[in-house]
Amino acid sequence: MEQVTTLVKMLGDTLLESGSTDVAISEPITAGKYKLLVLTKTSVGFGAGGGTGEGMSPDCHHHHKKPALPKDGAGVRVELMVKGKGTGLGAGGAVKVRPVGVIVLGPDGVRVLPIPDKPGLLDKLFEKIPQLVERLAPLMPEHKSN
Amino acid sequence: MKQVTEILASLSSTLAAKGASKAVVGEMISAGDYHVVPLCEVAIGLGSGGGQGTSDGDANGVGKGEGTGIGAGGSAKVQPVAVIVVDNGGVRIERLG
Repeated sequence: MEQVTTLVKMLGDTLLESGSTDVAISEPITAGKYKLLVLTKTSVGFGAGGGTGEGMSPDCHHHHKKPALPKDGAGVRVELMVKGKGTGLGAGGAVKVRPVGVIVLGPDGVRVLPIPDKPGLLDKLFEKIPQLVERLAPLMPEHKSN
Repeated sequence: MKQVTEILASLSSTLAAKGASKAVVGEMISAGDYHVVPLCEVAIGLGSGGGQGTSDGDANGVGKGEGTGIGAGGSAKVQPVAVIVVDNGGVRIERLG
């Protein structure tokens, strides 16, 4: 599995290079009397895997070429098996860089302006739960107490 | 599996050359006293895989063979998420979307 190690190392190096932490704070941008520094968040993920295997399997595709069976039936199993082996290897990774805030240096001092993240699917779902309950409540059977 | 490594190396060096992080902060655009700086979210993904197999065939050599397969893919997305606006009123961030 030396190849897997090589792949993981290569992938990791590349992804880290792509989303280098050196640029977590951008170069200062001068805009009029203000200087701006953009803050970024970098997420990196990668993985790799591989495997080898070998075994015997029934040869289903060549029944028409199947040799004549011996009368006593001996060796039938061996005649119908195909021996094979294989290896597989895969690797993947992703890097995501998004701006999270801006440092503003100006005549009135220094401020940090956050850049709100767009709500994800789960956040949207949680926001909808109260409305969903409200709509479903009339459809639920009434709870009868003694 | 040397090919897988080679493909991944080629893909990853291409993506690295693009400089994902550098694409986040766009060029400033100025118009008089107004300045805007676009900010983007950058996402890059890549993957590669391959396999090889051999078959000894049956006792008569039927089904004997060997094969290899490799594949690779990648994607990159750059999406503007906000704009820094600098004007006479100060500095503010306008979120997109």
